[in-house]
Amino acid sequence: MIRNFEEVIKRAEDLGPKRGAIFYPHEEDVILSIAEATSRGYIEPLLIGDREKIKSQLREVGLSGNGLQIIQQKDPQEASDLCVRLVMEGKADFIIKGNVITTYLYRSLIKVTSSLDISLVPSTLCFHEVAGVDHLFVITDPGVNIAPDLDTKVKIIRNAVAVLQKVGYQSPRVMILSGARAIDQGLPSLQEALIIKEMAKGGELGECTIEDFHNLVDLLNHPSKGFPDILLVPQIEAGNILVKAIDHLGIGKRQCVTVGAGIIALTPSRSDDHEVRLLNIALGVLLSGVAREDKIDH
Amino acid sequence: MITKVAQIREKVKEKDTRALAISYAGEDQVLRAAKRIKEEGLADLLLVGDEERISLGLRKAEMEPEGIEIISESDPTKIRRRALELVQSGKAHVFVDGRRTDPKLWGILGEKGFGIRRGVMSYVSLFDSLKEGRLMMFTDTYINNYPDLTEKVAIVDNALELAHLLGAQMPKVAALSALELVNPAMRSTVEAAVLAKMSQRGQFGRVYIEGPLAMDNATSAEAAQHKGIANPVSGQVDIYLVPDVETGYTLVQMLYLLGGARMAGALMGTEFPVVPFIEVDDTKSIYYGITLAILMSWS
Repeated sequence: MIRNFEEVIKRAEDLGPKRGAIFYPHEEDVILSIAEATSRGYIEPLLIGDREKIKSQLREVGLSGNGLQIIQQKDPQEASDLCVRLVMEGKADFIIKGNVITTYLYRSLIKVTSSLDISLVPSTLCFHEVAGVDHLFVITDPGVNIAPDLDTKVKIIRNAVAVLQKVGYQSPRVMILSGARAIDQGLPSLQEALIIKEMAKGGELGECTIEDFHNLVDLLNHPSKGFPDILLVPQIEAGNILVKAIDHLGIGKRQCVTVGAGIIALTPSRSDDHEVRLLNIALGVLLSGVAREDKIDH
Repeated sequence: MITKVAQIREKVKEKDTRALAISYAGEDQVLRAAKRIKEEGLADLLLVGDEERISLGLRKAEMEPEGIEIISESDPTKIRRRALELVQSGKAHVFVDGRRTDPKLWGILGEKGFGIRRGVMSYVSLFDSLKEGRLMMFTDTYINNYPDLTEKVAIVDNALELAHLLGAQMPKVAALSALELVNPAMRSTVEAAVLAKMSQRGQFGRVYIEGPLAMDNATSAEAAQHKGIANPVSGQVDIYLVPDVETGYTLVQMLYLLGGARMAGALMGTEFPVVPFIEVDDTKSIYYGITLAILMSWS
């Protein structure tokens, strides 16, 4: 079981290099983190975007670009679709988003996911490392699904359970968060949580445990249980604001990935610094590395 | 400008002693907060509830009787009303609910004719910043589930009233959402943009409201710059307006559980200060909440 980001780095060093498809590496900080990740042996990069822009960025940071594979595709949606296709065809292991809006990648993932299996949706998971919690935990979905219905929430949980199992959380503990409180217990998010709990009993969510409570403060009444592994948020605003509060208000660290149809896509923020980006790539190596081993086992 | 939750007490200390009316006053956690308030000379206590339970509570908390008045009310359905009436009649200045909150309190506060509610009620959660010397206010973190634009205007006005009381000359408000672009499919982005426009037109007075902002570009001027949305609010936020209670209430719990910073709460939109004892409160936060309520009682 991977308990912190240091272990993520160590595992990535063992598992790498993996083939990373870099979507639109048109800016200096992206190129720098890719170069560093390459020299550390995390990845063999495939650069997808505007060849001229990529080359001039490489020159700018003093890299020759010799031996680097660049695939020309100027249109951002086409480039994003191509990244997904490369992973589907086994030509790349995972995707790293450059400085470009995430919507393109979400669109590509939604397209490919629904074409494969109508019962799947992509979702974003943010891993967090926080002092006082002795393991990593995931908040989902702060990125793809705006206001997921019951059905979609189930799929989001399944995605998160599957990803956490890859890093050794065999039966993750899931807490379905709700704003329901003493003043009002009538929120739809609470009603849905109760239904999902019943569904989990029938094994519909994979191997996991759904907690009986839906407010974080209830954890104080169950000190022996420890902090959950997965926090499902009711909608995108809650998720996005929570995950960014953790790192931007100084509570702890955050690393986000988007998954769909078995594809791992890294969706760093533009404001992420160099170290944060490298750790993100290490997480991508780890998650896609384990995924491939699984395939071989089968 | 007050920059830390603990500074509120210093401000209250400069003024005369007030009186608190405390319902269900025998309960442990709130009584211990009240004990500290009394010992520091910030307020006298009017304790309303079952006399025996109160006496037992006082003995357990090792409290001296001086500056304490017990108002015996053995009918539990009347305790809160009696305590609230003490403030209405001017005998006390702040109502403190001694028992962990339940829907009945909110029923009484919202009741027409009882005259406690003044417009839209909303809740502000105050935290010491973990990173910089600036007080963080989040709203509405408890009362309104999914406020519409009209309610959000009132929620912002309520929070601004508090910010001004704490000494902010030109309060800065971040209307938060999941992203900094307006997405018609996400109501919170649209409402945040409208609030920002209203502020730009002077509809909130001497205030900066910016939105929609995501949490990263609200907290960091650099992140905002990076996204090409440099503005006077990013990196200097006094008030974070959250889209709904699912976000706000959960965020406050996370800051409380994992952040470990000092916290206080303020109920806005009432005729006089009311301190509820909500789920995230402990003795410490109630103590700070009372100091804030005493400060509010002077305005």
